[in-house]
Amino acid sequence: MIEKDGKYLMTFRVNGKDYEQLVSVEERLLDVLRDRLGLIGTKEGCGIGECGACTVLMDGEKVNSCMVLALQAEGSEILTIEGVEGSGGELHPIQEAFIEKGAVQCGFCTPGMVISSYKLLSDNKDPSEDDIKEAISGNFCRCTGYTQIVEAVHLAANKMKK
Amino acid sequence: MKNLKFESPETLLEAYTLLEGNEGKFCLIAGGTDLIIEMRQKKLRPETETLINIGLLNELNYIREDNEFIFIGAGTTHAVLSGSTIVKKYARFLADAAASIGSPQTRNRGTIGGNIITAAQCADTIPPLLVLDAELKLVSSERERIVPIGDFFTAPKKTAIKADEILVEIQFKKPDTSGKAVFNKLIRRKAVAKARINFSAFAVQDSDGKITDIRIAPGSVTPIHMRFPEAEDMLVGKVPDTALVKEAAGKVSETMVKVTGRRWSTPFKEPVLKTMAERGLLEILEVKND
Repeated sequence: MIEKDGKYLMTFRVNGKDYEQLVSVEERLLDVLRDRLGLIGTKEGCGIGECGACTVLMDGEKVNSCMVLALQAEGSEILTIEGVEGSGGELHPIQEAFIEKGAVQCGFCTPGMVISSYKLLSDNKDPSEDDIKEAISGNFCRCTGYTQIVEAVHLAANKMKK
Repeated sequence: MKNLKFESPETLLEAYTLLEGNEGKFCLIAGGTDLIIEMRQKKLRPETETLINIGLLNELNYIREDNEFIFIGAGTTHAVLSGSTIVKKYARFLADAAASIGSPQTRNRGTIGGNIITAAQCADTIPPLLVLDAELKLVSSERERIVPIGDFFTAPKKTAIKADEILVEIQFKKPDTSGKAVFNKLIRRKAVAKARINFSAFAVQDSDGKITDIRIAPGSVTPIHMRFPEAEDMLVGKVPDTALVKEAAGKVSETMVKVTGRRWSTPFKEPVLKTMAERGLLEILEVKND
């Protein structure tokens, strides 16, 4: 890794676009996404890997971006909430379903919830309620709107089958 | 404070070389699920100058078996461990323990090696590994040694690993297929919860119901991870009835209090551990009718 003034040059791909960034060791993937790339859809909640507000996909697996040093993401492919929408900016069926079912209250957990749902529905087209609960078990909603969120993921699954 | 440096070796050999002569200046990072929190709380050892990222080393990411043993690369994530066909076949309770850790997001990053090296009292994979009599392979550029996991924990959150060593592999003998094992975890909610108390045990009984092998390791109840031999000794060689199981469960609780002394949490943990031990033992033992 190329070092310059105590920082390191990293390259990675976010939402289909290549980036090169000079980052310090302490910076987390979350910090680079939000503060350097301006992708502020990914939220910081607890900062200790519990609440899942900062969930992104890293090489296809969901991770808490507060629990990954940016330099550990060198060479990886990241998907954030900004990358979920269609190329024309249209909402993803999961996002539509969240709106239709009233699964968004304060909205802070929503990006993480949508990413976890996106991963679930990529792997499993017809999830059971238990599958959905397991998939979002690392995402906390402090408005406690879980019932609507589970309903929204069911609806999204149906929309995506069509 | 000086800027931390970062190295991301591409091979284990390169990592061993970086660690040569290390007297604490280097700190390894694998999944980072504990270390990143420590970094942000400014709790890294003050002498740390460089993080060495071993999280990308495929050499540490495997689960293999031969006729007798199972070998797990220390970089295996909890997600991979909990889904492994080999682990589920021979040590389902270890897979259960890995599946109980944190959230899916945490299990995708955290590793079995990190769980052992961090040595948190609530580490979920450690009680099953104690029960499995696992051995740890520690390697540096100068030496390779195998340490039984029962000898590895030296003080709270301290282990016998040397500064120039890397934990590369966890190995254990395939348990006797006639044996039964258990891992139970007491938690405040179903996910993303640290264990309040863990209980893991393994037992083999012969055709007469006599216990020929019994291993008991509670978790989150003692400063250092350990087996509870006094309770094991009460059971081995006996054909258990419910009274004996109750007595042994009482001994488990008693041993905890002997080790820790009476602390603020003892009025809670003493009866709860006894109950968990009794339930756990009854899950794995064929008990003769009274």
